[in-house]
Amino acid sequence: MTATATSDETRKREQEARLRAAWAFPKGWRYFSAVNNSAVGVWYLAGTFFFLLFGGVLAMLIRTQLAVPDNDFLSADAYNQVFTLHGSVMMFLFAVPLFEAFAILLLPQLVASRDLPFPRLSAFGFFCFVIGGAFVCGSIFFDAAPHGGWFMYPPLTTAIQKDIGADVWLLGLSFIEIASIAAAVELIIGVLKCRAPGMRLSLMPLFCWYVLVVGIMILLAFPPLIAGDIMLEIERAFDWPFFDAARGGDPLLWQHLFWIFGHPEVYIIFLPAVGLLAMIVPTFAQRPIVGYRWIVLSAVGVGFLSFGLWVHHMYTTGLPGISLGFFSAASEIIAIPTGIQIFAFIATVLAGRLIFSVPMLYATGALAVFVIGGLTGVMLAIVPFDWQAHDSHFVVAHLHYTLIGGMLFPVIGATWYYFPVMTGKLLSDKVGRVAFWFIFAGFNVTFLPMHLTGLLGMPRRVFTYQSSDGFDTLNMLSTVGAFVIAAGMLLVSIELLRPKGKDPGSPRNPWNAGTLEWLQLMPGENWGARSVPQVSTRYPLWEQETLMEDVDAGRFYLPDAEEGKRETIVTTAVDARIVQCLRVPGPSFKPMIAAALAGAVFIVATFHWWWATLVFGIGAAGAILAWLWTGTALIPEKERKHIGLDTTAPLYASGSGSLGWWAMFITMIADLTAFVSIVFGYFFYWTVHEDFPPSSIEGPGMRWPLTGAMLISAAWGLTCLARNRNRRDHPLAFHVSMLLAVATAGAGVAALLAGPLAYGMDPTRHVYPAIVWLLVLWAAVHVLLGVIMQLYCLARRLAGRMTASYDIDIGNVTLYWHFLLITVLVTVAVIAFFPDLS
Amino acid sequence: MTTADGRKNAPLWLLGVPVSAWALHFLSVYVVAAVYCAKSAVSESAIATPLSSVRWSIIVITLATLAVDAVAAWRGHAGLKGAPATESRSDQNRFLGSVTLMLCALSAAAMVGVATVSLFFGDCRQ
Repeated sequence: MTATATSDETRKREQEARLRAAWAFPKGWRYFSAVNNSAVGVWYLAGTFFFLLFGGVLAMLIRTQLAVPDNDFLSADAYNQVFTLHGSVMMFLFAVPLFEAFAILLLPQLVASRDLPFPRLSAFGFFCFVIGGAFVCGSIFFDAAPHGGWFMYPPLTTAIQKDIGADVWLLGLSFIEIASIAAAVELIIGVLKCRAPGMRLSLMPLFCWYVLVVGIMILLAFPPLIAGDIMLEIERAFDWPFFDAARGGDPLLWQHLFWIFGHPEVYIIFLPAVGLLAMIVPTFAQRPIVGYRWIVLSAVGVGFLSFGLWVHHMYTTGLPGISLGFFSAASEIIAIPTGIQIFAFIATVLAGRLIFSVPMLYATGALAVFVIGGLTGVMLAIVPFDWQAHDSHFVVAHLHYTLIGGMLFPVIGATWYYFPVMTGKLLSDKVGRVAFWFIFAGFNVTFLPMHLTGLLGMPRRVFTYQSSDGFDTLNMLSTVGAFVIAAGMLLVSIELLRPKGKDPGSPRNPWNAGTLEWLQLMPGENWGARSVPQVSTRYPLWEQETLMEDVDAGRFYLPDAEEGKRETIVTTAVDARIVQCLRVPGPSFKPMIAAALAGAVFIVATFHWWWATLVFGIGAAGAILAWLWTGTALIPEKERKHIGLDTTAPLYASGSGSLGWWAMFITMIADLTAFVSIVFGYFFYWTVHEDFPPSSIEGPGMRWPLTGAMLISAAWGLTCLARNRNRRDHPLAFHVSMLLAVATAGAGVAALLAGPLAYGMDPTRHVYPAIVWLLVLWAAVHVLLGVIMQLYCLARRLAGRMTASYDIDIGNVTLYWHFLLITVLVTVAVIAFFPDLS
Repeated sequence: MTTADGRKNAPLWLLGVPVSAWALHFLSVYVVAAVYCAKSAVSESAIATPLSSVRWSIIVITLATLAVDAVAAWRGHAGLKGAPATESRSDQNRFLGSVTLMLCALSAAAMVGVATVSLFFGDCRQ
């Protein structure tokens, strides 16, 4: 060996040692402070797997109860708790978080990024998910679980079920929805801004397109439910009659808000699973996917059309025929993009050399089952058919065909496929095949007869039936099938959980796949790719001949961690040109502490312990501020650094160049959607009432809302001024502007609140004062958050953590205030001007 | 942003145009029909009030949003022409152009499909 070769080898080892140290997991009990995507992703997967098993046990209880007529295995109330929790757990604690888990684990590998842009946010989301999930699931052990169905329809959940169950659902799952939105923010930015250099949008793996589409769907679908949750919880806790028909409310508003979330939710679950299939199918056809552009079209098309289907869950609520027709048409049209994806997969298999592996077996099963579910979906989208089958077991069969075919089968296949990426080991081929046939056969034995059970007239959500009803044999068959599925799932569980220390390790890229996640060493290193490659094809491992060798030799970007920092590359959204070398934060318990305190707020609020809620709220705010103060917008020791391949990149970017700015923008889109949902509520009441606002109840008047709007507009202007003064390095002008902005905003809040107060609007009397108060309080809370942000910027500048050129904080706060201004102006237009117009 | 030969690149936000046009169309036709039926058809006899004004409104909304789709499709189509796919920028442009074009077609089909419903309903009855 020559001296040069030895020195190269030594340099390589030193680089690897530094990278290993920078990206290492903490040792011992501190392991749980890790924020690497490879740790948080695995925790997330483990959590969702646990909740899948929990929901599965609940399913077995349901099937045991229904096995024979007049069964008393479960009481009616216990059955209500079990089926409510089964649906809620499978939807909120398994299906949606599983997307987040896979995406957090895989996305950086797929785009050869070192990590996600906000690793601590991922960890925060995970802990929120676990705390909220444990709270909701644990309630059943205290006979206090929600029991109003997974959709919590009022007036059942307001006027009749006065116990704590609905509160557990509303507050526990709202907390988890926050985690979902946090993950969506993280993942959208991860896809758009953290791809390997050269990986243009048209080259990125299809799973990334699905992550992008589903992330955006979460931003638009979850907020209406959060708005509905807030309204329903306020009605339960404080008797504001949003859904009480006797006082002007309307239970149908809840159904609208729930299903505006609930139907896109189905596709939020389904699309990522299709994304996983889009990774599996080309690998086992050993060729690039057929119709890449068509699949992108389909993913985007399904994403947007899914927002036009929600009323097909409400066909029997008495809406005009023409309205039902619109939703029926949209429900049929969505079959077009859905079908395109399936045809593209079939074409890929036909055009390639199929290797019928375990993942492919599950993929095939998924397509077969999902197509049946899709066809019964087309039937249910037809209004007269739905009127006959509504709320019967036919619908139960349909939804399980779509969700298990569209999600569970692909996910088990993907687990077999990606297990080497997670652990460096392969799962057993034989166990995978045996389990498949158990699950596939069991599934069809359970749910195929259930179509008939429903058509014969057996309603959903009844805890028993009589022998004379004629459902005995079909129900027994379904129960037998369910236990066969359970046997298959038991095999899967044993295979996943059994110790694998003595198993031989997986070879690198064991399936001969073409995408970048298979660059990973087996077992993997925490740093992901040894160096971040320059990408020029869709399947770099197939089409860029020496790529793996060059990556391993550190010939691409960021082959080293000279300063011992965790670094990744930020690129432009469309054509992936390098714009920044981003320093991402390392291990910390702060996200866990913040999640625990925030979780405590929701938990104690369930019991209406308001003082404790306030104390934990202050604690959570303090924890989040401490986290932000110490871990975000850090000023680097130098402006730029050399990142390899004769390239230098800045270490800091402000304004719209900052990923924090993107995160704020995306978060505020979700926030604005929740606000729009409340405004929708106001106009919903106006639509359904002849006299709204009612002439007998005074509104908030013009004077105070207008004064509030003017003061808050002035605070917005002063915030913009402060940002500009800071940028020009005029600290005095910055401080004066910001202090004036704080004072003006405070006065603006007082003026907004003065409107309904001055006119004695009692929110418990009628829905009109209730919705006005809700809009005003929404705006006021947002202004107060804006004030905290302004004070934070003042403190950052005083502490030297924000300067004229390092000004991420004030840029993000100004962006928040832009959205806040829209919220306040719309609020005032609605509460002050609309009553006169109408 | 323009290419070397002076043509405009297809921007990323172009993908959002057919999506937004569809959303605007769907929301508008739903709101028009819902508000009309709730406000105009308050009595049993009025439920049978003809929906002709709603129908005309829906036709106008559909034509307007189809026009938006047509403009986006034109921009997308412009991105399809040009240099060979080997040139990366041009390839990117072709990709965004063709996906936009296909989305416009899907969005237009969905809008026409939904609007057609109004031809079959004469009044607000269920």
